[in-house]
Amino acid sequence: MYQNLEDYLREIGHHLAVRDGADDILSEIKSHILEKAEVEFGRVTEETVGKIISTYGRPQQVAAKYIEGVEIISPIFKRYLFLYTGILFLCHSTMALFAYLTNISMLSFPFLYIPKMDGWQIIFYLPTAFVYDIGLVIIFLYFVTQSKKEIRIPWPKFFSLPASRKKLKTPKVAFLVFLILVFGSFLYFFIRHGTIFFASMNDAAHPIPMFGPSASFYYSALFLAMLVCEVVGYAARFISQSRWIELIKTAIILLLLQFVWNSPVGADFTKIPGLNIEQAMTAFLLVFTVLIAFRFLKNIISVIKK
Amino acid sequence: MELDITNLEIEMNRGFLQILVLVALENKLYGYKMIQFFQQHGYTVEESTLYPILRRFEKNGWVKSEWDISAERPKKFYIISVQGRSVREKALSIWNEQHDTLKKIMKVSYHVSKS
Repeated sequence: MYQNLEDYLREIGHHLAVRDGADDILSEIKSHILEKAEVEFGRVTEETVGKIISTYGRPQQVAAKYIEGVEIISPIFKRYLFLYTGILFLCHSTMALFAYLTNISMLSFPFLYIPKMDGWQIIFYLPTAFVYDIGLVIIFLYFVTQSKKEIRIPWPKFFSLPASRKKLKTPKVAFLVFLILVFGSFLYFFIRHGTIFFASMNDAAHPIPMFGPSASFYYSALFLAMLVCEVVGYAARFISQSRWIELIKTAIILLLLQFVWNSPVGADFTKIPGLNIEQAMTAFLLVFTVLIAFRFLKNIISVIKK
Repeated sequence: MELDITNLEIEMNRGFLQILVLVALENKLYGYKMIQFFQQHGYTVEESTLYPILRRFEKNGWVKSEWDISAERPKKFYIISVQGRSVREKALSIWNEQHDTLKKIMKVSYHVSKS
């Protein structure tokens, strides 16, 4: 047997992804090469076999011709691959951000486990999450392709912003004035009572604060800072309607929320019979954080798309 | 500049070669002999293209094969099956229809462009 022919056939066999009959294919190629060498050169030697091999084609190309038309994932799913990975990564990132902000770990059965993590860990976690998400979508599309059935996969249009919405809407002076008034009112309460959170305002002169003094100051200052972000962000839209403004604004608010969730100050809630202030506030904060995280990621997508 | 129609040629040959194989396999042949047979009649085919087609046809039941191990070097012979014959008839009728259509369209188009 000729070593170069052995090597050549082994290489083809390595790339030959057929379910059965690989030996049959290799035997046929071998028989062909040997006969051709004999017919064309009058003798079969390592050298003449080598010459025939060089015209037969590169092993990878030869093997590829046997699996032509066999698809791992149908090309019609190319756009689905990117869209579904994007959606999954958006959910994954939102949960990761949430896990980071709230310092808790989460399990979304059966696919996603998000551990609690600090700032550095989340930076390394997100690329890993992306690879995981794209892998998950690939597996899904692989099974859809291999089923050989005409399966219609939904095409969500929610994430495809129309061109008109890629820029922010033109701001209205009236709304800016309204925002400033809201901010002014909260600031007034903060200066007068040291808090903007009240459990009861039945007695307007002496309202009952929701938290103890230090927590009142801490949380109120943070929420006032968020309101400032909103006001400044909205005012900035008079100068530019770029999505970057929204992105930066939501990023700063998320950062401030991180200080709310990981507060060094004990909340020390005021006790009111029949009302669990702690639960109500936690639920509110939860919804608010998810909404801001979602806006943040949506702005990232818009900025990248532009 | 020379016109590069390699891809077009490959695409056109793909269908043509399949008909040619079904026609040639009316007689028992093995791969290398088939290539030589085509060459004698002015048609060159790459072996790495022919064998995968033969394998696909065999899988579809259009051709039958058997190894002849009586000679010094074993050879895999192919011959068309009953199913293969009906496929061949259909393929030839498509090819003839395409040829006729092309001729008709060429006639009209060239006539229009000259007038």
